[in-house]
Amino acid sequence: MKTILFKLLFLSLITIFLTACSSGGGGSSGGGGGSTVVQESAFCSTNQSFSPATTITGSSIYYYRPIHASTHVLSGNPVSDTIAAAEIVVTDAAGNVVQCSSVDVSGNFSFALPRSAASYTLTINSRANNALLKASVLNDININGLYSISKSITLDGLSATQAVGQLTAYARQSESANIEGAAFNILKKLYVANDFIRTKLSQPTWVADKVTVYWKAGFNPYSYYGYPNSPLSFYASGERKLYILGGINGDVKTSDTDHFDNSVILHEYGHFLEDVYGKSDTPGGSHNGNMIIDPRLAWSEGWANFIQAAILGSSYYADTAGFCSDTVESTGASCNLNIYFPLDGSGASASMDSVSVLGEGVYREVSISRTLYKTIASPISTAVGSLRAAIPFSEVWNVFSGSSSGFVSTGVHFRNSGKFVEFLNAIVNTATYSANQTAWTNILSNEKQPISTKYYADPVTLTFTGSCGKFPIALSPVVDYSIPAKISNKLHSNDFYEYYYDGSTNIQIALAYTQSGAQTINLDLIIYKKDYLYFEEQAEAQGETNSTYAVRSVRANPALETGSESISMVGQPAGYYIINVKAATYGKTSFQLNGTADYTINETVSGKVLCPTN
Amino acid sequence: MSDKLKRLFVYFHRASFFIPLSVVAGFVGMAIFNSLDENSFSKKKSHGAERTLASFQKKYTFKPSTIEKHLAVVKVTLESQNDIPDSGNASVVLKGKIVLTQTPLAAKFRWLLPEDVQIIHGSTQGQLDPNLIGVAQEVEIEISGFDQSAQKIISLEGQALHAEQTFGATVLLSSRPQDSMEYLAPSMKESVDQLAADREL
Repeated sequence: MKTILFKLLFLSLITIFLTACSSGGGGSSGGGGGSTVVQESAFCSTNQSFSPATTITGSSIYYYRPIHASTHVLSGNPVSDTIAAAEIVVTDAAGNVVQCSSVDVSGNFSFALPRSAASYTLTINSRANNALLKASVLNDININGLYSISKSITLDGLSATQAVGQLTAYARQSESANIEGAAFNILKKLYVANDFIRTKLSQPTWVADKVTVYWKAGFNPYSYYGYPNSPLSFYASGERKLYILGGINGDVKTSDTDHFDNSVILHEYGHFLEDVYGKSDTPGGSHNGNMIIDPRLAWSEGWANFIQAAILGSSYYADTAGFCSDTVESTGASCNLNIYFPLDGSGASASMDSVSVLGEGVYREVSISRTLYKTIASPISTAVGSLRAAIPFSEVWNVFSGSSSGFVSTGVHFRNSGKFVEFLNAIVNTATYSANQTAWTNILSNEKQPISTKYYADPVTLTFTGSCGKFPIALSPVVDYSIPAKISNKLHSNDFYEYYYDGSTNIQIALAYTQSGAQTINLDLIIYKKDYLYFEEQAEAQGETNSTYAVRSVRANPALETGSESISMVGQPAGYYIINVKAATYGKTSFQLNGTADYTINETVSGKVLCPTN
Repeated sequence: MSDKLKRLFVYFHRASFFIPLSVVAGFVGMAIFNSLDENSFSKKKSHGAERTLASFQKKYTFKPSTIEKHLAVVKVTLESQNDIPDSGNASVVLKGKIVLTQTPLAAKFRWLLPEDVQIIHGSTQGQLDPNLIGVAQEVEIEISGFDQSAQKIISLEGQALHAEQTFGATVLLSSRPQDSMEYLAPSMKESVDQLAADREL
């Protein structure tokens, strides 16, 4: 009886659970926030054959706003380019789909219709799902609607062929309120990206997985996340969705827009490629272009800045606002350059993220972008002002996406440019690239990029003290950044080590250090979990907490620094951690930080040290 | 009565007893489930999480932090210091903040006003201190005619000459933000999230 009652209880629970499930999902629309969500319509994919048939031919173009060669703002009248790879749908007078096709890489199309007297509508949509490109440019997250241009076709029922002329997507609001030209510009740039990778990898059938792009003229997509006043394009990590800035509050004439900023479009697509084909450990976060930042963030942003330039064949990154000098639409318009930086100059004299000491390049995103750009730029040049190593892009991609000996390897953690350069250096230092090696070495030297993880996430292992020649290590901290808040200098005031804990051994980590210099330096010992967020002392002072601490030893501003900090790893699960040796710098002046601490990381149970690899 | 009819009668007789019982049992089960304290439920969840089976892993949800175009040389924000009137000529004070992130050779600002908006106090353009880096430089203007009777948009533009390039940024303020898609966007996202959550059940 007990068994029967238990089964009944179980069945009843299952019934209720299934009822709850089916009431919410399963359909093509829904949503509880007051708006109806409609899923993107199915691709039109079946190409029909007809006999007898009339072959329809034509072409398609879109207009975009060009970037001025010297001012780098959007300036001048819109210019045209050919649409590529876009979906074609042909419907009859009753709205029934009679043919599916797609535009070729040159904007042309050719497809069959029944040879009979009839009228049709030919529509080219802002999406592709073919061997060249898999992407959809949609208007918003609720409607998931396409942008399209269309044309009526009338067949006489006699002709074997009929040319229908050209379909055009416009860039001016006065010519088309939705600015379909922008949607087709985004689609074209994604095609160019796919074609670039296909060509460089010598893999004619390569095509990236599908990506969805949300864009609407005059709309800031960051509003979806509650930030209407922060104009932003972004990639939703893990969701394979790009959000491209279309302006703000209906305005495209003066506001920041990104639909014609190819750098921005492909920067965000670079994050998509990293998400799907590479691997990122970036914690995200805000920063400016003249700042030492978390190396994981610097790598991810540096990669995205680089890949856009590689795809476009340009040597800069440009992000504009508004437009000007349009002979038709200049009234009420103004143009600005939000962001611009070249990628081909010297790291020492760069206007953004210049570098001066070895290891600094790991912490600066634009330095990483320049390093990668100059690595693939050709022809080979060893002159400091125009360094180019002409290493094939495919080698960079192989490291970027490599699952056995690249960035996607399971043994790689805390991904940063030091690790990337280490991988790539192993390839460049072969006979195949003997002619490129001097330029490559000069680039790394110029951009202060180390060929190892020495300056970030260097693995430490338990080693007998006498066998480790790395300690003591000197740390001479500097004052915090003051913009946008008090931020610790991650290169000069911190050291970071990768540490694997097995989850069971009694490990007691102790930081021992001695002082030299005029002032006493207070070092803290912090163990972060794998996906950690670096925690600023200012944030702590303001009462914020950080759940990514595993354990730490932070003695709050002792009157007399005793030179030791210790923690226990007992109770922590097995896994990879970051050991952060951090100088307490919050609120201190350069005078107060005028000193050096020489430290050793001991493990007191075994009597060994945690010795860095490099 | 045939054997088939007898079996059918017995079936319905049993069903009339067990179906209500099963429903009651279901609710009892739900009550027991709901009465589990948070800690005991967490333990069960964490045990499952340790197994890290791919099919059990919850889909990652993207939640961006409050970020902006971090490499922008000029950053501009704008807000009204008082409520925008429904109609009429009541004055409105607008305060803009312009931050330079690099050291420019020169920097300036200008307001772009609709034709039917008049200046009561302040200048429509001026210079910024190029030596104030990372510090918000405030510019203020008092106007009339900026009301909610119609959509009116005011722009504040900041510009800086840096490394032989002119950088700039513009921010808009609408008299009727409630008419914008930006205003509706959070509820649109909420609908998408709700649909996704329903599908995960």
